[in-house]
Amino acid sequence: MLSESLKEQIEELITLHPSKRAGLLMALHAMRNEIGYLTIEDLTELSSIIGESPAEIQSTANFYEMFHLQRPVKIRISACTSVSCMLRGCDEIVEYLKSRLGIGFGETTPDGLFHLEEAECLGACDTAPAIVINDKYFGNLTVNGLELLLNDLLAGKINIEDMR
Amino acid sequence: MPEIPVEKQTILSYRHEPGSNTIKVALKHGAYDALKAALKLQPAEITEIVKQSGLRGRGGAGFPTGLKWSFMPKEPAPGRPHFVLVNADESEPGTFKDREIMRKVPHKLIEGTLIACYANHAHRAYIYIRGEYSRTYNIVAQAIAEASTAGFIGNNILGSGFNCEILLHRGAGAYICGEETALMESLEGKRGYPRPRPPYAVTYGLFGFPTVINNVETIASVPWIILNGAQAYRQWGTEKSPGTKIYSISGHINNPGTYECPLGTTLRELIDISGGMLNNGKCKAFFPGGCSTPLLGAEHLDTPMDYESLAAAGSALGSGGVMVMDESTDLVKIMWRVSKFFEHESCGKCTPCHQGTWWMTRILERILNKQASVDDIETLRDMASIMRGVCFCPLGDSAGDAVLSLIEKFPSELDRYLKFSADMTVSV
Repeated sequence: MLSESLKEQIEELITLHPSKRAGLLMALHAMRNEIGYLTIEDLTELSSIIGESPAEIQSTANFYEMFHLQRPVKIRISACTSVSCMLRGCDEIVEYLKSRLGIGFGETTPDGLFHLEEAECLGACDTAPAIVINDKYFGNLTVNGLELLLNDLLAGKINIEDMR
Repeated sequence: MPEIPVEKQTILSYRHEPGSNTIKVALKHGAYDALKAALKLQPAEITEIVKQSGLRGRGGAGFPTGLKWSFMPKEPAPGRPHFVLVNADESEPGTFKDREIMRKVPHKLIEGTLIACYANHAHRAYIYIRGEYSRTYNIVAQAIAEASTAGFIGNNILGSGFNCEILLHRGAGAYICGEETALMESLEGKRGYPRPRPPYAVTYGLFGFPTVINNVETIASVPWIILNGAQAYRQWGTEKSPGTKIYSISGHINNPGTYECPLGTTLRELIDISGGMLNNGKCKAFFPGGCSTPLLGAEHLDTPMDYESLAAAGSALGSGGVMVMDESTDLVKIMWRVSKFFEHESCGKCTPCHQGTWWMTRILERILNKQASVDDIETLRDMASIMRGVCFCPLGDSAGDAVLSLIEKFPSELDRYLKFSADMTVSV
């Protein structure tokens, strides 16, 4: 069920353009920001607001990497493995993440806390190797630095809410 | 030709000043003076100035900007508004110059956008920013708010009678949405499938209306050109590639970053400007403009990095996202990752691309696992050669070109893998 505030935001977004459908991506971003991920129920509700079939809305959301149609995780780590990050040691970073978290790409830790995925070029090549934690970029990574970062995150010294 | 002295740079001149993204600092550096000058001219005059400057699209294709603008209808037809669409979907690996422009000098982009709207009789511009650049989005949003408060965006701008609004839009993680027709589809709330061209955006663009689509860097080049004139822009670069370019350079160099230089700067010069090779290594190969541009070897260290020279060298300037690789680099592994990127980002619309990118990546994996024979290399070459001209959009072209550049220019890299597996086969 979409919250009243979300519905208001969505109504505003879909009136900005010559077609209601053009407000879809920004509406999905609003839902992602508030809820974290997209359920079939929420997408169906959105589709009736926009006036399109649920299939159209779901298949559009599905196309984009940033819109997740699975259960939410607290900490989503995307590690870039593209060319410039490869040249600056992302393999080490990835190995460290996999071994510390005990999961591979596309997997979630059993406690539902971490999800690890592989990212395409993040546009942060000047700070390679780089990762994104939720929405926040981290670059110039070393294994030691990353270890400390994760320690602080888990100890509550860094607020997950700041990862935007 | 070293990096242009900071104060003379056409786009990034004040990026190092704290608060450079704020209107207060931007105004100190002449922000919106070009807009004031432009509003005193006729729209067609502005297009002519941009045309004379020789500015070419800085997103990758390098199409002459003034020429593109001149293809727009002279006046909007009834019920057919014009749009300007700024492509800020920067997703070409190795490219981060638009991010720099938007974060450090967003008012340059806003000013250029307003001038482009005025020149093309558009009263609404969209800036489509890749979804991952969320902080960049916030910075640009703030700059737009500042510019609106100051009266540079909105109704009757500076008393000229010209109305213009700028809407920000976010992508959501899809490289293909940087392709201009897929970008329009995405902005319209659909999956990012490219459209056939023709019709081009100037005829049938956003929502079916005439639209000028330009890259961030292209648009951000316009204010300087209006203020200083077309001829002044030609003081840098070459006849066919005039002006400056913000090169993104990364990989095995000491100071990866963005550097605004004259077009035609060589890789040797760029490496020098960016602090030299990491650990005093030697350059083995490089991508001149993201991984959509074919690999070039160290014999091209002194090739001018402009549109025509790189094309003649069998590659392209593309986005100018330079990725430098030293002699420790396994080029097969790099090309496998590039192929995997194209496979992942293929939208799925056309068979040769979604099949071709898939197969090329699988064969490269077989090679890396030392299970490939010489026949497999020939199959890979065939697949890569078929892609060009057959796929629906340039993503497929680039995927094939990338792999071909490995096979044709660095065959010894592949031999290493084959020889090993050949040694392991036993004839009985």
